[in-house]
Amino acid sequence: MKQWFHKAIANPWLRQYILVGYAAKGTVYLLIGTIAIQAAVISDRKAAGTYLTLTWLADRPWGKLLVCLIAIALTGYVLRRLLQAILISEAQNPFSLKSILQCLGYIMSGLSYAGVAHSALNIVFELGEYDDTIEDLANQLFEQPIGGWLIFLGGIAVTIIGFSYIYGAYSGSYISEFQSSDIHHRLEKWATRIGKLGVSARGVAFILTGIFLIQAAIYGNSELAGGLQNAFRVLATKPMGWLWLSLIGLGLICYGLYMFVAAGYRRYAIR
Amino acid sequence: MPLDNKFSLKAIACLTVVILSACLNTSPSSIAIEKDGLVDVAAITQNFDSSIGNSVLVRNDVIAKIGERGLILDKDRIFSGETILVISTSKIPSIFSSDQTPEVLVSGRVERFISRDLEPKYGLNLDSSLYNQYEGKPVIIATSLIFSPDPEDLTRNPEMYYGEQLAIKGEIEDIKSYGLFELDEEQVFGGEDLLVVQLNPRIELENEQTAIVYGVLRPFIFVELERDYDLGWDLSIQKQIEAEYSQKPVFVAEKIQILK
Repeated sequence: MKQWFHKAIANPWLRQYILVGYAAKGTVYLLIGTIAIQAAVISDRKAAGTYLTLTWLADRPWGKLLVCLIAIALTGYVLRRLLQAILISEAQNPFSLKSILQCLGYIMSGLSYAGVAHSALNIVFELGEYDDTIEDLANQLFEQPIGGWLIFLGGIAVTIIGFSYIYGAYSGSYISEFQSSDIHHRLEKWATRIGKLGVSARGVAFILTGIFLIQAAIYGNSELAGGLQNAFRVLATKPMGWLWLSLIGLGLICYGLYMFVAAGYRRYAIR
Repeated sequence: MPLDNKFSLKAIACLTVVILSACLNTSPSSIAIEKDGLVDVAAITQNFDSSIGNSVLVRNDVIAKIGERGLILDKDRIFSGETILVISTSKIPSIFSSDQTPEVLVSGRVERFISRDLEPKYGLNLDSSLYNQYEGKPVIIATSLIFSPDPEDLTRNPEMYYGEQLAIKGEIEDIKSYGLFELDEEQVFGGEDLLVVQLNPRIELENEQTAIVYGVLRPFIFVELERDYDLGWDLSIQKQIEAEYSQKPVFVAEKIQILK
């Protein structure tokens, strides 16, 4: 079984499929970042989270086809996360706190991209409508006796993940290793730089989302909780909001571009 | 320090400013604007002295029922405020006992609970053994107390709510020109939006507004709705509406209060 599994993950087609997933993820971030910058510069535009970004793309010529392709490609990324979660169980100490947290992290990440792929298909086939899942979850939790505390703890967890991204960007541990023989050294240098910026921007987005969850718990208001869309909306209302929006937008564009380079030159598809 | 580290340090520092600015500026004032009209239970109990005598509108879960007239409302905030006692000036409808923690919309006045003062003032006759422990604490004397389930509760289990006076809070969406709109469900999985019909004269609504809609739930039977409410739908609209909504529950809005 183990042998079969390792043989399967060494399959070059699987590697390609996962790397296409990287590119799809990069495309989504590139679009989110571009729309955020447009919103910062043009007065009647609004920044969008993942769902509304995909809706925007679907309304362009050939958009639905593109959104559909993104959905299919993203499943490659979901597969990567699930394989990572399985591989963790082969670690030296699979039941250590670190391994368990890592495994949970991979599963959560996999599920969230599966969610994005699902939303993308919803948009293409016009099955659903926009809904802020995090706000809805907070609203449901508030009806439970310890719901407020769960939202608070969730907020702290998301904030810590955000800081870990920023630390990972600074230390370079969250940046992909590239196939040094294939990639031009200048491209590698730049990809590392924009990757660090991009991962930091994602970190900031996570921290903002976490802070808003904590505030929702403190003020007892589920409307404060929300995803990236909510974070953008709140940022836009702050003094110099356009600047913060542009900075995060730029960071997410960097992340998107870095994902493209990773799709082309990443040394390990799964790790 | 190597060049790459210097670069990333600067870039990360710049992005961190974004976080700090967001943290420093996210003040409760933005929350007050969000919830204009509705007052938080926690805000009343936390600022009790300045709240006494104020007319308030609150909406929260009932966590306990005390006697025939009393309820305890939840506070939601985790660090501040207390739950609050609500005394209704009329008997509480029996529907409130059917759900475990139903939500209610309470309109009333904040008072300090001193039974010997409040009983003559509001014409109440309270069982002192039940209310002793609340002496001196905040209370809302409710002049109106309406069951206020979430939109998805009505679509999931309409039979339970047919014919009851309800006040539903939700986000307006999918507004149609002929007085129909939907209140967004707030469920992570499943959950169906609640169809609402606005009676004449209709007020101007906008998508994504949050509102409290007062009215009753009915099955969508076109002939009966048209007979009872004179909605003025012409034949072409009638066919379209019947095809789309026939047999669904519809909430007939008698009053709509927009929350900012």
